[in-house]
Amino acid sequence: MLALNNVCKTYSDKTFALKNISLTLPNGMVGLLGPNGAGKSTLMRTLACLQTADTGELLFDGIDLNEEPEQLRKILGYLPQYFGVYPHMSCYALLEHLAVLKGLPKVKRDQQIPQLLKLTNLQDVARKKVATFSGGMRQRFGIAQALLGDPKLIIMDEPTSGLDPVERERLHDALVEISKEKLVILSTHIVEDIENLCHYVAILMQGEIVANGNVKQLIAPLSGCIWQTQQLPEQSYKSSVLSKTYRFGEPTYRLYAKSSPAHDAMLVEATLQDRYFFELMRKESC
Amino acid sequence: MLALNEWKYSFSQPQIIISLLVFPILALVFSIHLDTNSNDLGEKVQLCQIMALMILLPLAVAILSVPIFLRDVLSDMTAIISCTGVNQTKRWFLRFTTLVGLLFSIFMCSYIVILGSQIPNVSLNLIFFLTISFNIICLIFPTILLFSVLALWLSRISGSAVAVYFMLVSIGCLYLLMASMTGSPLLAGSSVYSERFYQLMLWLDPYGVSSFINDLNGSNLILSTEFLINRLIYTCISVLMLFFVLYNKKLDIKKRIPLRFKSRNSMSRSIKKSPRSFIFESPLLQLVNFKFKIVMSNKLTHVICVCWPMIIFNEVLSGLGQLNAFAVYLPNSVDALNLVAFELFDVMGVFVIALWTWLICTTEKTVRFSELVAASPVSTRQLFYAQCIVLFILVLLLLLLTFIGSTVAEIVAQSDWLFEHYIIQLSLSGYPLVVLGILFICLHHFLRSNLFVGLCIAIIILIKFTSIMTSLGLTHTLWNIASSPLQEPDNFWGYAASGSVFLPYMTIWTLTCISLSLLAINQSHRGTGLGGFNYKKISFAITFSFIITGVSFLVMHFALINEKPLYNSIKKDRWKTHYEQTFAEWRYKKQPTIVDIKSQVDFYPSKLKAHFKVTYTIENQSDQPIKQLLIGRHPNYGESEIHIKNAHLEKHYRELNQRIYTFNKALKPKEQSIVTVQFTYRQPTLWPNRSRQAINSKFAYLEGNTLLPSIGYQSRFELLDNQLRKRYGLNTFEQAISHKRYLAKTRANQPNSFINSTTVISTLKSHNALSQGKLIKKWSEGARAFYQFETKQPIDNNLAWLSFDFNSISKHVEGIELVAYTPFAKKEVEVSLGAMEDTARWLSQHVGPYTGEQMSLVATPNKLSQSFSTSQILLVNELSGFRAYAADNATFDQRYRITAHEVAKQWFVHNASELLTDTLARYIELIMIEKKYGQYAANTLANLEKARLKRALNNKSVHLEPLAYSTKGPITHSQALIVFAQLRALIGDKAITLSLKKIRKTSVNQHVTLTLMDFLNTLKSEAPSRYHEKIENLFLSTP
Repeated sequence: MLALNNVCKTYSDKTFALKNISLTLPNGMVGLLGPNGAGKSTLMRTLACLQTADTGELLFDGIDLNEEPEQLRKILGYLPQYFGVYPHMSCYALLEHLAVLKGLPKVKRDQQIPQLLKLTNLQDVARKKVATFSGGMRQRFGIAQALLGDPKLIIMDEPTSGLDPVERERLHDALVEISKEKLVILSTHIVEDIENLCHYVAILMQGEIVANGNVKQLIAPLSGCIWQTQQLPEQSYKSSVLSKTYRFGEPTYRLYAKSSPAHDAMLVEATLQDRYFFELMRKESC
Repeated sequence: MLALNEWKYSFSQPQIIISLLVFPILALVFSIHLDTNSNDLGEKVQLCQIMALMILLPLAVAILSVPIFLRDVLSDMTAIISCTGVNQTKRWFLRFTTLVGLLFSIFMCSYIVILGSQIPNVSLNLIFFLTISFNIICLIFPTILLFSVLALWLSRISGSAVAVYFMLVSIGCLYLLMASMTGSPLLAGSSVYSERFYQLMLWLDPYGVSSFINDLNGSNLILSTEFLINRLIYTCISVLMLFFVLYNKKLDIKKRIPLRFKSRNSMSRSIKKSPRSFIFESPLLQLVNFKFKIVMSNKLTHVICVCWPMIIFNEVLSGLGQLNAFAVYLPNSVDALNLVAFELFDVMGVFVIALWTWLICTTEKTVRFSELVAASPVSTRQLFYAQCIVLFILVLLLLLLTFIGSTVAEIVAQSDWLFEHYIIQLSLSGYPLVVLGILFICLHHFLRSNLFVGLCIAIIILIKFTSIMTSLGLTHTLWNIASSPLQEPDNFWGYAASGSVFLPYMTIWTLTCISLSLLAINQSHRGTGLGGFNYKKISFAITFSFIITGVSFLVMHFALINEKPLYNSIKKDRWKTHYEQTFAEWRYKKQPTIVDIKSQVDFYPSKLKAHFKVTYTIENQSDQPIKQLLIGRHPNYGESEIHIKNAHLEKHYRELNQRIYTFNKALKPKEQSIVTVQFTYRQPTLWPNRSRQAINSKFAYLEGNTLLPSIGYQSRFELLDNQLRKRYGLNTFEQAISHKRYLAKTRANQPNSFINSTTVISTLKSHNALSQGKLIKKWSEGARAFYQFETKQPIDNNLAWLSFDFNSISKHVEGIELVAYTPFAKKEVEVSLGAMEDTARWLSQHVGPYTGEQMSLVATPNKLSQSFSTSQILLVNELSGFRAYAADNATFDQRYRITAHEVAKQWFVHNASELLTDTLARYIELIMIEKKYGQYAANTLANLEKARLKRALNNKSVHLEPLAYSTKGPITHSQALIVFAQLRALIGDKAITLSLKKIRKTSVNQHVTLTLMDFLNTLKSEAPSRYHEKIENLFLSTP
């Protein structure tokens, strides 16, 4: 279990990246949602002990992240949003290098690396230079390295970016399987991924946690208030537009209203995306 | 519009704005402290322009070209920028013009600032402005153009900021080296390497500076052919190169898109196989393995690995075994490594280490792999240690390359190869590099921005290798960061001249290194550049280590001051000012003269000290009674115990180390008194030995002139430089009269101080002792040997005391006992002893009898000094005086010439000014060479001196003076020999030797110091009148 208490982080240019973040995250898949610049990557890096919080307490399974970052790193798997690779190194060699740095003995390395290569579908290119990999292949390499050493805390920043649908599905399978006894924190813009995979979600906006909890609990307050329509209602004060999507070039609006906002409006089931847009709307109106 | 856009971008970059501010300030700092020896301030401003160009241009180009040319690559903007409507040629051209514009702006600002600082001294007129404008158009602009094109080409072909920085700074350093080989007046210690090279540089100097300086002080106008053609050639080269770089599609940076772009956009590209790499089980070793491979796979490392041994080989081979044109010596590894292990290895090594630590610490961040490593459970300590281990291995590699280069050169030069010396010297050279490298690694750990790291490293290098801190008035030996003032060893006494400095200095720097390493581990960003400095995390252990380091620095500072209170030029100048201001009235006060010195000197060579008990007999030789006496010595030698018979201490100026005594009863004319002085001299252990004096277990030489307290006002303590005198509020000397001439004049009118001396020296039983006078007694007491010397006739008041562990060979000639004390075999001493015999005989027969009974020749360490003489003792450098023998093409042996010169001085040293003594000694040298080796050899010597003078004069800051007033040291020596060669051809030797005999007789009888003018007048009286005008021309006008 990961517990954050009043975590704050301000950058040298006075940007409040994290404001009094207090969270308790249970084991399993946890999603971190938020618009660009909300502080997701800062929070991820702070959790990965790449940078320290200015104030606040971060505890994972009894390990104080501020005091014992090296203890946490022993059980951490981390996939940053952007990463590069060394030239002239094969996928296998680079995984082996990272496995050594993670303290894996040879027996475990020989066992885990082929498994992870298989999991990420990289076994055919294991002896090829990672620097010549495509974006998706490199992302899969990143996932493989994050899973090295059987980490207890896995932090993944945009893990599915650049993956084709098949690979994305494969990763989903792997993550669900892995997350049974671990804490996997997933940060992504693809709300659908979080909704599909995570049982717990935290929504971060302007450095603050605006909502967090079980996905079903987060959706529940919107139940019976989400309407879908092809046209915007004339009396806009009765409702708020949560999102506008297109299908075959035709717009579709999802509205938040206590009662039907328009005659053609259809009551639909609330989703995590609705809650996300609802919080975004609330934050903007503040 | 596009150009405006470029300028807008430029002014949004902090790197560029800082450069625009900092470079003019640096130019000002350099110009303020530029010692050009030029009285023409207009000329000084022009030299400042050149100085700024030579030193700052490569740095400015390197710093500005990265944000201008490499911004797309460094900011991952290549793809986006490539897709814009502006074509590649136009885009690069715009950037090129922006760089040229910015550089031009920087240099214009610099010149305005320099000019501003000189306005009170420079008369601003149209010609001055036209000259400055001409310089800007013909000198500055083409050079800026050339460097900008070079930077553009480097940026496009490398696509790497490190490569651009490294190459441009290396080109800059290489040019400075070349400039110093052309005798640039702007670079301290530079001299003309060879006439051919100088002529070549007049035409091919990429800055055009050589021909410009050649024209500046010469009679030529600025528009000399060499200068104009040089500028035209380089402008054409720049334009052609610009066209090549702009229109060559193969250089397109798109082909060098960073790997992350390549891979994301190259789905269809074939995936390359990589060979299996060796993996270590330990994370630390694996990190070492990995980082070492990173550095070794870098192309610049490949270049270094190939070029380094070649440079070392070239340097060693070109300088080994050759002392000068006619003298060679059997070299060994000490000589070989001395050619490279100090300046070359020190300077280039630091640049290489800066590059390698950069690669070790930043490559992961550059390829965006750092977060993956940082998130791994490898501790920061392990990361840091791994980097330090790789650094250590790389320094070993550098030492190995040096070893290979030097050893091969030694094999080719058939040098005596000493493996043990390689181990010692390379360890002493390598350790400071490791310490400095660790300091650089620490910077990479503290500082989040690579830009700041680069800036800090540049500042460290600037402080370490330039006189910038001296320019700011903060001279200190500890500015040589992570290093010690260790000097080259020699074959005479190894590292004895400075070996003691290594341990204390390196201990301080090691402590600094440990403290910074602890802090680096504590505050590291683990290569990611993320997070900030967290003061709360700093533990007590780290704070304590910094306290220890700080205290060590303070202790070291005070220990340095204790050993040498006037440890920098500012303190020395202030002390001299204070001395002159305090005792100005004493200049004209009559003071007693020392007539007899009884000294007891106890040498303790292994303890590096000597105890002195000296008794002066002083006499009032004036016609007035003397009430007070001023006595003291230089403050660097500390306090001494002084007692004066029938006198009491009136005032003690501790800061000036001077005392005023008042006689209880005024000292009447011809009345004598006794002064007793006691003190202990200790060899400084924190300062390298740069003076002639030294005490060491093998060799000790101490001289009375500097050690013994002097009586009366001392003109030698006066501040000589007129500008400094003005700055410190002292009256300036007459411009036309240099201080030396002033001293010579004043001394010439005073009776010289001649003394009788009785000396007892005690030293180790294994040592020999020497002082002026005849050895009259020698005995032992316990473990110590005692030697008593006594002079039979008065000698010049400049006593010397020596103790050494080598034996003597002696000869008798004309009633003089000639003794040579050297550590060399008889065969190596024969030439010098022969020269002593021949010269002493000739001088006794033609000039007059020798005034002493014994003349001693002593071999001195190579680094202690060149050859010199004091009464009855000749001190000759071990290399040039004994080891160096005549080359195959030599017409005479340099050892013979040097010894003859020093012996000749003995006939005049008591009675003539320094200039006259040196000048006449050169004449005797010429005579003795002719007698021993023939007319052709004497002509060769004259031609050699002519060539040497010509080379020296290529440095246009040196102006030739008439020989009779010359103060130029080595130039005067060359000038004297040439003048005497011409004089001999004009009037023959008879008149000259008669004049020598006459003036010596006069001076010995009258006890006065003679000047070259006295000799000239005597010569004119001896030579037929038809030659008088020509003789005067030779001595009183410049050739």
